[in-house]
Amino acid sequence: MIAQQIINALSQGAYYALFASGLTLIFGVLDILNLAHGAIFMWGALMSWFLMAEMGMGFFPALAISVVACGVIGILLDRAAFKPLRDRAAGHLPPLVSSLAVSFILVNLAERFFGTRVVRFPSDAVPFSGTLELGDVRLPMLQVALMCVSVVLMFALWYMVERTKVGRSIRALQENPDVARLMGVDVERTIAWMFVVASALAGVAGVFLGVAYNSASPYMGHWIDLKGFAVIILGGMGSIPGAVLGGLLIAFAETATVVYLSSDYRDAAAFVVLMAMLLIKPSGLLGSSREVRA
Amino acid sequence: MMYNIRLTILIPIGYGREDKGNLWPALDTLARDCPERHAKPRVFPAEWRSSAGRRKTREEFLMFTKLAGAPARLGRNVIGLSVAGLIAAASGPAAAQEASSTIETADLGAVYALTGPVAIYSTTIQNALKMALEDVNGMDGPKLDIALEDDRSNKNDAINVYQKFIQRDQKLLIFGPLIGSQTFAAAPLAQRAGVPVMLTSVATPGVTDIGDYIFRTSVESATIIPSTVEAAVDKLGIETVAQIYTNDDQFSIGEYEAFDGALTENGVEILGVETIRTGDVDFSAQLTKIKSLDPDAIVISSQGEESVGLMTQARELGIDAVFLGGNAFNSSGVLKDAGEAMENAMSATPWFASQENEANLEFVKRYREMFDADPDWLAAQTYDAVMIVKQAVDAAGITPDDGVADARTKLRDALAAIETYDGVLGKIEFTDNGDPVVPGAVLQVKNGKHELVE
Amino acid sequence: MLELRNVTTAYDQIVALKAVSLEVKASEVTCLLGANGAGKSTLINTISGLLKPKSGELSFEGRAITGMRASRIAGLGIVQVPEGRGIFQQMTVHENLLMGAHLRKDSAGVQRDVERHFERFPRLAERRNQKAGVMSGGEQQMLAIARALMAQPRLLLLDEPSMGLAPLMVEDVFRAVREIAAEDVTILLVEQNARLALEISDRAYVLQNGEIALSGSARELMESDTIKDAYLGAA
Repeated sequence: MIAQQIINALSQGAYYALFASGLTLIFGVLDILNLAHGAIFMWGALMSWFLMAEMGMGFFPALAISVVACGVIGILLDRAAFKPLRDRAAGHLPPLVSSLAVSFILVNLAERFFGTRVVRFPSDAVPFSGTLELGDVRLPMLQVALMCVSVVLMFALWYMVERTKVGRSIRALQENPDVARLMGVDVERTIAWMFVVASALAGVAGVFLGVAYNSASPYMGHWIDLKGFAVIILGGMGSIPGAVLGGLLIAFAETATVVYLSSDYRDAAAFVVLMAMLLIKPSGLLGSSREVRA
Repeated sequence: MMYNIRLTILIPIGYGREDKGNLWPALDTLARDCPERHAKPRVFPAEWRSSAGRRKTREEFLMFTKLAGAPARLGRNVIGLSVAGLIAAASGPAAAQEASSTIETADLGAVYALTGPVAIYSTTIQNALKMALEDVNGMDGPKLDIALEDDRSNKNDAINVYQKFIQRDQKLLIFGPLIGSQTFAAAPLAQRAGVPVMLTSVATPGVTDIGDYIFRTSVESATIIPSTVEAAVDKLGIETVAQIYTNDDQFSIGEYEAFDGALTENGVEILGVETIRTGDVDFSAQLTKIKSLDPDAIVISSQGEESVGLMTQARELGIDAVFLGGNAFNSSGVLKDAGEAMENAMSATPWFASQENEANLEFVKRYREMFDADPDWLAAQTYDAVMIVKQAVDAAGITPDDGVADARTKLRDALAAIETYDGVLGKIEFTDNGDPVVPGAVLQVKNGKHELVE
Repeated sequence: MLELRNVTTAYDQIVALKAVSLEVKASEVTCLLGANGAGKSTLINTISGLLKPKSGELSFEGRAITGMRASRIAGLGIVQVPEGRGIFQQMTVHENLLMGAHLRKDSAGVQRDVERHFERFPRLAERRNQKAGVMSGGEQQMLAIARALMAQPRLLLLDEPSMGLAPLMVEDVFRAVREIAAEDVTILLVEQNARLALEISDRAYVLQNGEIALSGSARELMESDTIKDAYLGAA
């Protein structure tokens, strides 16, 4: 039973990490919480459902189209909610509010396009069906696929940020946007690219989560937004390995709470861990205590 | 006779914002209910402050109302009552008019979740409203007009629609909202304003305790859940169970508690209790824990979406226990989405499609013709509710000269006077509290279909 | 090479530069002197495009650059070593140099230049793969200059390179600046240490309250009584 619970926590942690890594990427550079991240995640799930259930597409084409579309929504999000405020140097609160507004708009549009009900994916469209059985441990193949995809994407993201020119520009912007400009970094293009990557990751998480739990609705973004914030604060704002670690830690804390305490406290567990972290190390597990810029 | 009444309305601080909000519509009513030829009150509202403590403030307010000759009662609705008293005093001469024939149309409101997370339940309700209106308006007596509005599945919108119906639109009665948590938020407004409410879908315990203006045709789960447990013990030989329920949803908590009592009463051992929250999608941790307990059955008290997730994920984890459930299990949507995972599952229902009472046979036939779909228990409850309201409107004898407050009171009294009703649900008996008691039945899923357990 | 005509820059309502006109001639070292708050950094950042002038015109090699984006101005070859060095502390020394070469497309040339700068600044070579933030102030200044050179600048803007450095380090930094000037790179140097700055400059401007108060050849200004009193100390 413990083995099964560890597997449960690992696959839950994989979702958290995938979702939170995009959130932390945007926070790291722009210092803002993107409250529309969950709405994009939801669009990824519902779009892939639409393509599979209504258009009769296979899983992989639907995944590809949904993820690309999420990337495009990411750029539009930046153009609509963040760029106008950035140009006016509007501070921290206005972008928070305008991203919240965009998230409402995205939810409302989803209600219009996809309806308000929880939709189910057609069972024949989903690959990796079946369950891996190792002794008493059951592991749906979809969860296995998701964990593999998460590991690959996290590594790809890490590689992009740490080893490529775009990643270097992102880190330069993160540390000192003015000097980055002086070095010739095209700030707007870099930020747009970042939104594409972050939103595409949210899309991947959305598609897999929708398919794995066979459930998608316009409201599925709400709960994961909150978890995502807890994950990135725990892991250290702006740190991608931190998002992975934070995601796993919260998933394990939740599972352990169910196993050893009571499922009544499951949601509280994440936030208790979070608050303990804030007392011990306010910058999070892997967060660097960043200097406060004037 | 000509009165020139000058009123000064004092608003005591500390009675809550909603009381102030209620004042203005009350004043509008006051102005309208006093026709020019009798009296035209002039209203000078003033904020009444007292530097003394709250107790003093209450005493001063009582003294003021005594001086003003208006009835007053301490409590949250002190303003509404005192203003209502003033209205009665001011419009005294108007009441002396000659009686006339009854109204032609009764303006009613309905508020349901047409969008949002629980909108899944409202389609059949909307259909039933439409069908019942068609039937009702073909009968003699006053016609019914029902304005349907969306509360987007949330409490605040339900409150807003209620306020609009009560104050601006002057509706005589309100149908809905859909679920218990919304009802607990909105219905007290109607109770305070003296507007009758007819609930057609709320199976949560305690909603009729809000007050004597709250009625329902929806059957409380607690009254039928014991029959599920009895059938599970008799037919399936269940000896041990694990319970899992949504602990942030009043409806699910009510079902859970009803199961808890019935299980204990029937000598079933409860091996463990797990909880989930509304909107959760991953239940693997809780279900893994339940798996290790190896119960004969798993009792699920949740709304539809979570029920589907719980059942399918339990099967994925290799759990083969049978499921027992509440109202959600009766939904055809849940049955379809859960598929094979729900085989053999048992639940009690206040109504089922193949019920053989005459009203039901006719109802099911007409519903299928009109909407090309099957009705569910919510449609049945809603249809009966409209019929009962029609019966009450006929009996109430509301005249065009009745003020809206009087008309609402007459309608409430007529509703309260109905003790039994023979309708689609079968023979309904209403308790003193306004709760319905129906025969009901237990269903079990066989080959993907609900079948009656004899 | 660089010309400013009547450039006025303001932060909100506060005018920091008032109708400043100035010229930087190719292959020369031009220095800009002035007290704290005289508007020196404002001027540098206006040239770099981080600040937009309210009025006036800027041109570089005959081409108008007024209001151009900072990243495009960098692309024209105007490269700034910002005040306080502005190195990327979380990046390695090597990555900082690569940031300098951000706009270059010739990766082989970039690689060669990296090695060249490591030869010139051996201290940097030793710390190649360390986080730049752990280095001393002087080393960071060297890195900031090397990073700017990676961009193959036609005009190098140096903002207070001696700030906060120990005297020995200051000498090192100015030695480096002199070497760079000798390699035919045009330099606009902002300095508070007027004596050191004038020694290596061809031409000088003095900024006072956002206006050009004095200008002339470095030699002339060195002799000027005003400069002697105000900036060189009454020695």
